[in-house]
Amino acid sequence: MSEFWSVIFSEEFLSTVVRVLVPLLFASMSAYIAALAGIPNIAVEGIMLMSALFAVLGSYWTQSSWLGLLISIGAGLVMALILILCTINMGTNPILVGIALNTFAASFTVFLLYMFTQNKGTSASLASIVLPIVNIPIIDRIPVLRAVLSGQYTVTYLCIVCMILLALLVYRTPLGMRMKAAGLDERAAKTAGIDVNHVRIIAVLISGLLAALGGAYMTTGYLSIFTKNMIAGRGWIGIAAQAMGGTNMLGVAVTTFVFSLFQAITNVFSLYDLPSELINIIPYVGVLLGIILFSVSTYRSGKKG
Amino acid sequence: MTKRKFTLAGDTAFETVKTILAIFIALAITFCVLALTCENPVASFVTMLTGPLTKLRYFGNVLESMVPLVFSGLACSLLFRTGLFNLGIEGIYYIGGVICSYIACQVFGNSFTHPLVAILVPALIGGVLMLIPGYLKAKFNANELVTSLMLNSIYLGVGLWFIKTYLRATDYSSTASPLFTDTATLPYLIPGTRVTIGILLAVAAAFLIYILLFKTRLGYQIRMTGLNPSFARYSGMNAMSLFLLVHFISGFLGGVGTSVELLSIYSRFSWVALPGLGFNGALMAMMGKNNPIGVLVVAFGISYLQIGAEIMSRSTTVPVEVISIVTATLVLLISAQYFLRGWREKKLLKEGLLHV
Amino acid sequence: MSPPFSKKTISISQNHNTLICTACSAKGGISLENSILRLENITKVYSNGVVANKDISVNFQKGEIHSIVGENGAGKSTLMKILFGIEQPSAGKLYLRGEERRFHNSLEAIDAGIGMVHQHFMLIPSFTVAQSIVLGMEPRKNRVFLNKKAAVEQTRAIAEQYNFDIDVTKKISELSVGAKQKVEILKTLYRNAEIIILDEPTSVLTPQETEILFDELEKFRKLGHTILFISHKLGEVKQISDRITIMRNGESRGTFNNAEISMEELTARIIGRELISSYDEKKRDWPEKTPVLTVEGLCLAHKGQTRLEGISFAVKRGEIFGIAGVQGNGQDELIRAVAGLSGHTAGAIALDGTDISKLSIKKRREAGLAYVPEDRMLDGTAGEASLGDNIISTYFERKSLNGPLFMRGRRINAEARRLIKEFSIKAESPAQKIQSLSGGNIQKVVVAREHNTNPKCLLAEQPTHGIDIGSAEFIHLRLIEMRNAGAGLLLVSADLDEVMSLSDRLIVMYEGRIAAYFSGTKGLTRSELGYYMLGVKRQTPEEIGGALRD
Repeated sequence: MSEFWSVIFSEEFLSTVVRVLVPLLFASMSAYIAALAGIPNIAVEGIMLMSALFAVLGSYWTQSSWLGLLISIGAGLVMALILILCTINMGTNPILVGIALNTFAASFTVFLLYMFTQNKGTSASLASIVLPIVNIPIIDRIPVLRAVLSGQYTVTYLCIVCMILLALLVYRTPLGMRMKAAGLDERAAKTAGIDVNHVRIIAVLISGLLAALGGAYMTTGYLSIFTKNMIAGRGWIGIAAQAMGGTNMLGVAVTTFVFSLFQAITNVFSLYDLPSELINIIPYVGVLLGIILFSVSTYRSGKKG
Repeated sequence: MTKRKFTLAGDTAFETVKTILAIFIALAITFCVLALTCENPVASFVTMLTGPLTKLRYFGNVLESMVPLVFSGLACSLLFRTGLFNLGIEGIYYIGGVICSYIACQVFGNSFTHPLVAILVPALIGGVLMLIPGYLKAKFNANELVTSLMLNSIYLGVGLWFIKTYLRATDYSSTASPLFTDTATLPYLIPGTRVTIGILLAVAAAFLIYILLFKTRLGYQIRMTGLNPSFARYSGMNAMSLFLLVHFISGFLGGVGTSVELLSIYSRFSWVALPGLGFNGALMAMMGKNNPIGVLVVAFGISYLQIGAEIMSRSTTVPVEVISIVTATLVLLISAQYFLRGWREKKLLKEGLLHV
Repeated sequence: MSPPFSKKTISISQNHNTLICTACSAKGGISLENSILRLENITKVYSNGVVANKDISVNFQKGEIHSIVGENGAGKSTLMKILFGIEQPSAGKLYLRGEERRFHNSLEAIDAGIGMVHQHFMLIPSFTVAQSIVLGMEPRKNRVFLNKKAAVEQTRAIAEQYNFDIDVTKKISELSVGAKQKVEILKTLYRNAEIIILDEPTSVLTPQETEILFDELEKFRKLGHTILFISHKLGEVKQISDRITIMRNGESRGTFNNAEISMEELTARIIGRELISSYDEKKRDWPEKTPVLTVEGLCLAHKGQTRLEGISFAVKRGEIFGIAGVQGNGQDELIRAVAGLSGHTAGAIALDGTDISKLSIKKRREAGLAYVPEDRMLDGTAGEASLGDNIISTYFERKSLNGPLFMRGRRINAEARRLIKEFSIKAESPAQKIQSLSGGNIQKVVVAREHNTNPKCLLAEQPTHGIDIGSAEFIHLRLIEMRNAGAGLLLVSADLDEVMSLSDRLIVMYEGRIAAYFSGTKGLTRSELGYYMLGVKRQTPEEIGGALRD
């Protein structure tokens, strides 16, 4: 047991937490910004999957990891555009669109994978290029901090930038305020003279961008290849974090962090001789319990009020 | 105010036009994809559309693969009817499959009682498991989409662990159960195919759910609650108990679906990931507009295209997953509220003006 | 609107037209010069065929308080929505400062200097006052960022300029109703609104808050703003207006200088024709007039606000007990509490001597209660379901409609057909979706269904609201038939004609309380009722007590 704790309090563990946190944070923020403006985006999982594949394909086609990243973002934006087209222009229930997009992505990625690699499982045969691991001078010599801020994948640093920009957008710009208004009360927003659809389109596009980066992270650093269904519920964990954090960005981020702790602990446990299948469900059990506790407490406080 | 009426015929005609146009667009997009990806798109397209009719075995394949889709489609359509987006059928398919396989691997009863038990037990357990997200939603308003998806992953982990620990075949290279006992498997109905009594059960289930929905008091309450919850409440119906019952039936159907699938097509349990059949059920429900007979027709249609695509994929480089393009287009167009709405409104307005 | 107006009505409306002309000519030359906003022959037909406004022409002057009065459904709100760009007129023209304009959305109206304070506040509870005010026109810093400091300063400055005592850093959820309204008004001022539309602004205010509002409105007028004040409270209208436009049935019934029209005349014009139809000769006496529904001391408080207070009355067998009042004075809460759809804080509800206040909706129905709800599409029917499904929802478990296992489709169809015939519902078949029927026929389906449960007591809430005259009359006769057969009917209606011609006894509700009780309708005039409905008069508790005692 003492060995376990020494692993938990090691710099490597901290580094692992960051590694598992990044895609979850992209996912939850993607869900967050769309829900904030009033369009629940449950296609996060599907967008991440598509972008993960296109990051590999893109870097293979262009032989440039950065162009690959751009192509991957493009794929995510296309998915977001479909969501916009269906919900805002055609009036379809966003949840239905999300379910359709997720199942579509699950098999369409296999379709594309097979078209380009003649393999339905992985993209190992494609010579794709990953983004570099970034070491930051000075910081890489400070204990603890170096585990978090140095030696991480490129997209991790993009994640930090995105979170700062997103927080500025939501809390410091008129657009962020309008998004919140559009999400909280569409009629109030309209009578204040806000073009609600316009605001929502921007929000869903940002959501698509964030999910795309989360997907790209998976194949340009975390792993260097695409494998079938590799997002493995990360998008859904993000949606769960959003459901619990609501319109509070920090709340969503903290919830995501807690979920990624579960995930990192799972990784530690896998070092031991324990049934890996049961260990693997720890994060999902954590999210489930989190949602239940959250709902029960909301229910209780609602009853009192 | 003058009296006016908008005819029912207009409604049905509108839905029909909408569906036909959606199918046409979906096939057209598929053709474009084929044109981009394979050398002889026209021949491939024709193979895809007519392939299943060329051999009895192929047509048998269509019937086989529609069975699990019908069950999961029915299960999802019941849930969707009550206004819930619960995707838990996927997990029920997995855990139900594990339970079914465990029973199917035992030596037990005869060729009637063995499959009966191997189908009913997973069905009952499936029903009970579905009550979890149902209750959490009904009582505490817990997001059913998230809870059901988390449960799916949990069921997968637990099921996989169970198979590896208690039911692992020693004579097999990858993770799988031993061969099912002979008495457990369902006999083939049509020689030369793997069509079993499963297809009859699926059709029967569709008709039973149809009867349940449209001929019984329970179904009446489910329909009214789904269409307008406040109207149902006003009329004195109890939403909570209806809610739980619908979840149970849905999980039960999921359990039957997975068991029938395993005992018909498989000789051992070898799923190491979620089979995807439950998610596809959600698509069937959407395309079938939550109508049991609609689900039956759609499951047949999609299976037909799926087998067509499989036959085509043998002679081309295009994999069977091309079918996901058809499905996604169909789902999005059929569930779109405003698709063709402009056309419809003009028509309604014209009718309306005539009566002013 | 429909043709079957009686000759009498037509002659009255012609009479009105001449009056409008005199009113216009009296104002004559000055009006056009000073005019800021002019409506010419505005007509609005909704896509479902409802004619909400018909040929309305009004001239709003700069710097006046102009009231628009009329009953519920008279078309006031639609007219204001057209002015504010929420709805587009089907015909007619709108001139702003002499220039023809058409607003496609609220943003265009706001840009043109029109502001609106909605009856239901358009405020987001988690926003601060400053945020709510600047939303949509936010001050910026470096072009990109929200300038929170400027937002607070600007809103504070504008509040001070107009002498509004409000803390702009507070959250909306912490404000009183009166303060929320101030925020709404500040929103329009922040957007430089020259014309401010207030839709029923006093309906949510206490008398003290109302006084403060009126002082403010006076101030705005002096500063040159034009105020459009929509209300049905005549006392207030008389107190504050320069001119008054009266609306009835979607039409304008003339614009008058406040000084030139008396309260009585105003009431008469709003209410329209005096009672013409009476159902007296159709009414038959029921031998035992014992109470069937008793409500005693019913109170309801919601989020600290009193919605119902001390409501007591008894409905007897073989009578129609009317509740008159302007919508939103507690009638809805009362009926929903009796039907079991929502709770109440204190008081007793008894049906036929047994307490039903703790029973479920189903049990109350089984005990003999039936209910025609106010909103036929929200509560009364499931629009996507068939007529047959809709017409049995409150008694679908009845033995005659069911076999041991299945519902008997043929019997249900036969029952539906019988009801279709008996209530002359215009429908092709029981399989038809109910939403494809006209409003009147949908309402007949609801009444037929509730009638078919043979209730001891029927709650009828706005039973003929927004439907054609033929269907309305038909429904009235069926209600009287039920009364004659010994049922007790509780009728809620904002339509005075209806409540006066049908009721045997009646109460008037105002602000969640009973304002008056009348033991009969003989000799009762509409204007008399109007005084109580509009809060001008109120009876003593002793008089009101008769509702339960008699």
